[in-house]
Amino acid sequence: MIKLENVSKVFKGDVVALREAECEIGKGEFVFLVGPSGSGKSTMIRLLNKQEEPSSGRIFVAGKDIGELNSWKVPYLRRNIGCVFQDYKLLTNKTVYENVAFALEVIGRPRHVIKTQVPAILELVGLSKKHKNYPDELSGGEQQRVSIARAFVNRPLILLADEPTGNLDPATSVGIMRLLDRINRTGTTVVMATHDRSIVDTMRRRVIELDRGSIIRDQARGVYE
Amino acid sequence: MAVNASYVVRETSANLTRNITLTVASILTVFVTLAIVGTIVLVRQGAQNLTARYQKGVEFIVYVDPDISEDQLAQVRTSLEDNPGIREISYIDRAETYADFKELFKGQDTMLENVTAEDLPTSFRVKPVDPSVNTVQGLVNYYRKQPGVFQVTAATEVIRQLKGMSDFLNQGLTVFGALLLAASALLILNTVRTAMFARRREIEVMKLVGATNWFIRVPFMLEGLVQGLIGGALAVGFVFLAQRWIDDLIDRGPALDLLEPFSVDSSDVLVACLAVSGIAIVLSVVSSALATRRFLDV
Repeated sequence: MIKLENVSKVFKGDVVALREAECEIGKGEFVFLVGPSGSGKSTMIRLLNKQEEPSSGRIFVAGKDIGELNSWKVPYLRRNIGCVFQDYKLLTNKTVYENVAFALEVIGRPRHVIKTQVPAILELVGLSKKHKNYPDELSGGEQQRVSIARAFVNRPLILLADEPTGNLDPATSVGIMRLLDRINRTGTTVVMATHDRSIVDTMRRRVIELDRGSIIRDQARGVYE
Repeated sequence: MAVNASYVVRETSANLTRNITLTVASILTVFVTLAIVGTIVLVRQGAQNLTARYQKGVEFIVYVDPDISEDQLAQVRTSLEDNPGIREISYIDRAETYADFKELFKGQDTMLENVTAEDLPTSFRVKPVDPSVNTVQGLVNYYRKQPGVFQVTAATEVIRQLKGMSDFLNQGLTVFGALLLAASALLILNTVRTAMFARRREIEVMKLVGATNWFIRVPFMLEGLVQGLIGGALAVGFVFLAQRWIDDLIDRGPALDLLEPFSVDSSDVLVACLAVSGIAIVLSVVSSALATRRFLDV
């Protein structure tokens, strides 16, 4: 599903964010990216949906070299990749329902599809009763559920999560992880960057560890360190 | 890419009303700019009409000395009649000249009291065969040197001056108009960019979930287009008014009779309106396209 071939990313001033990264992630896998801040986890995630371009190397998503993708095709790549962030990135002037519906609306889905898909996904994340609330009326955990609903409503092949539990307490984080696990079991490939030792140690999934831009460990059913 | 019409209408009107002061400012600037541009087009058409008319129908007037003898007068007349370059002449006698004079200086009693019919030179109105400015000027120069001729006047110099003046006016106004157009374009660009900046979080989300650039861009471009079109429509209205004003101004006094051919007809107004609308559309589309481009770079 995802393949990195000798991928490096160097920012201005010779800051090496990723150094000759090699890895392959299969369909339906659940992968943790771990490592200290600045080790290249976020860069790797941003490279996968073409928010950043690699300085060298090739990245394949669903069998396609995304470096050769025309810029007008990038939106279609992103429709297959859901994204979840530490800061949720919800639109504060829209309700829960509208936030999720927005993701379908802007990729031109017809209204009847939106009307059936959005309630279904809100049911899945457990927010049916709060669909009329605005983001600032929700707890952090609930906001992250909305953001996951938005990322998953279009049933993408891949879900990228950049420290989704970074702003949440441990109990709430467990709930979020259950949700991501459920999404993973529908066949969606999940790549999650995290600092959360207890989550990684409890879930026992594949762990890719980064340090100063290099992959230093790639372990099936791994632990944080 | 299916762009949902209700989505586009909703987003465009939201963009326009979100920052109403800037929207109004750019509409007004577009209006003022295009009103001036439209007027420039009208003035240019008018000036063309004016010079074209004079270049076709130029006459000149040969004034004879007020104290000319009958013989000399007859000589001047024959010389005019025999000239193959002259089509037609008519003699304005003393009484007629004085009547014209009274009409011209109506209300200026000192002039009327002090000038008698005998003080005024009588004249021949001469229509040349070839009315081009150069031929007329040749004839004028020739008759100036004839005995018994007091003065020869022709519109040729006036035309030359008018043309020079209108050229100068045209160039000045065109530079001015171009600067205003640039200001309008920048203002629309800035307004659209401000709207995009206000919605940068939405745009970010749209890009992350895979909205195409065109989908994101269309409401913002329409915002610019609407501003341009409203400003342009107001300017078209102004051009119609401007035509009325020019006509009224010319009709107001006999002193401006000379400018009669300056009046613009409806085809000139049509040209001006088309120019204004065309510029409005191009201006707003180009500036909003430029405004939306940078924000959408991945």
